[in-house]
Amino acid sequence: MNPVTRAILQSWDVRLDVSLILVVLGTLYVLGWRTLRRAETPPFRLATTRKLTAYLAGLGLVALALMSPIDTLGGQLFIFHMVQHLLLIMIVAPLLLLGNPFPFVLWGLPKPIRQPIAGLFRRKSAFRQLFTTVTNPGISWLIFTAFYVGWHDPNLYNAALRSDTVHDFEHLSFLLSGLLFWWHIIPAAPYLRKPMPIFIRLGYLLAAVVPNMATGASIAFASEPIYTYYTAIPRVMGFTVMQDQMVGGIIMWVPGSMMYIVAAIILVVVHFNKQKTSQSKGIPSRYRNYEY
Amino acid sequence: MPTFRRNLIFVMLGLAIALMPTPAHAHGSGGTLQMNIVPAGAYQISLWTEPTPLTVGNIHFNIAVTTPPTDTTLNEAGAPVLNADVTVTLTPVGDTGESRTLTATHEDAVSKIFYNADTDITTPGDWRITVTVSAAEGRGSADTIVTIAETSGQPSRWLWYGAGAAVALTAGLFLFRQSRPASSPEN
Repeated sequence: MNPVTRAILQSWDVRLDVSLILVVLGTLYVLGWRTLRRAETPPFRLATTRKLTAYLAGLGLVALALMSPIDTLGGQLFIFHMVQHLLLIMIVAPLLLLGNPFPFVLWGLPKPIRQPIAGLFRRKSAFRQLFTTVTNPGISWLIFTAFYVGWHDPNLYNAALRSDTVHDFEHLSFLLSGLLFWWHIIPAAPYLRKPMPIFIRLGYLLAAVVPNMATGASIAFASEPIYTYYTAIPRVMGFTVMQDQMVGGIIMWVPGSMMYIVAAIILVVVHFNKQKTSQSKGIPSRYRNYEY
Repeated sequence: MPTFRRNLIFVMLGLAIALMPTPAHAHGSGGTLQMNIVPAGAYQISLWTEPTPLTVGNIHFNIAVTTPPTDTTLNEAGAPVLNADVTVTLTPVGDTGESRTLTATHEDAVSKIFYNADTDITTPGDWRITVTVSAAEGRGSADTIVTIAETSGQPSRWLWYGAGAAVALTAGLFLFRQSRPASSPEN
């Protein structure tokens, strides 16, 4: 094997802080899932194996994105940093939401902690009202877009590569804003508002293609290195700084945009399939959009 | 409390304790760039240091040794040189203090393309850092002068921990008060 490839493949960064958070989140989910599964009788509707698999796969991909050579290479090649971001935003966030984590994690907590948290989401609680307002679809879309575009500013991006703390904050903000964004597409608890009609959801999703394409294209067509941090880093895989920047921009622009379009297609297919199933089972239309 | 749940709590506590001595620095390349692709014989050297700003105590050196780029018009690093002997020599500037030489290796580096070394510096002031590379293409060295301060002038990490604890406490209190007046949704 090529020595550089071998060095890259050996560059795992098994971080205890990330591992601990993932183990805690996974443990709480599994505990809650077991509890709620026992409370159900087949056919299971809440604690399904599909949800458990989606959630654990999401956590596994977080580990892969933040601790495997993908992360290490992200510090050396812009391309891999873009792959890492797309993984967190486009794949991890939807997978976690498909796991509908809120009720399971809540039921994994001990009662003295679970009750106060559940109390926050009582119908008339001030917290719930505030949370509902600040997470409305318009604000969520703006927060997501602001983080997504903002972090590609050269000063912020270079700062993230120079400081581990800033870098961690960048990844956390991508994941959290990604969860917020996808929450309006993939409804998951807490259900604070009626799901948006399908055509509004499609508009919300496809509107994100525009800033994504604009950012990706402006990076791909830049005539000089935007992210100067990479000029001092050893060049691996034969990419010059400019080639790396161009390909990274194209990854963000084309596969990144395609993911929104693929999600829109899946959304339409799932919606019509659910409608067909619900009609045959006689489920009232107001309950049809709640879970995927 | 069921045994399964109790065991899991013990595992989580064990992990939390294991986490405590984790060093705070460097899981990536990061740090302050002190030498930016400086020619050194047949090689180019880039050097990053941590913490930022440099202060007395533990100092971390992250070094990239590369060949010059094939296209010499490009102002960037070339391919990594992996099998080199790399040393870092620290000498106090304008002082009679002793210099010290460290060996930088891939062993402690997160990215095995870089060479890493660590040392403790107790004397503030200006220090000359000389990086020497020896590999198949011969020997080369480059140096720079850095200033190591007595204190960073930034809030201590404990202040951040204190602030975090205060926020957590306030949030806990808020949660407690919110949950008191009425029954929770699960009831």
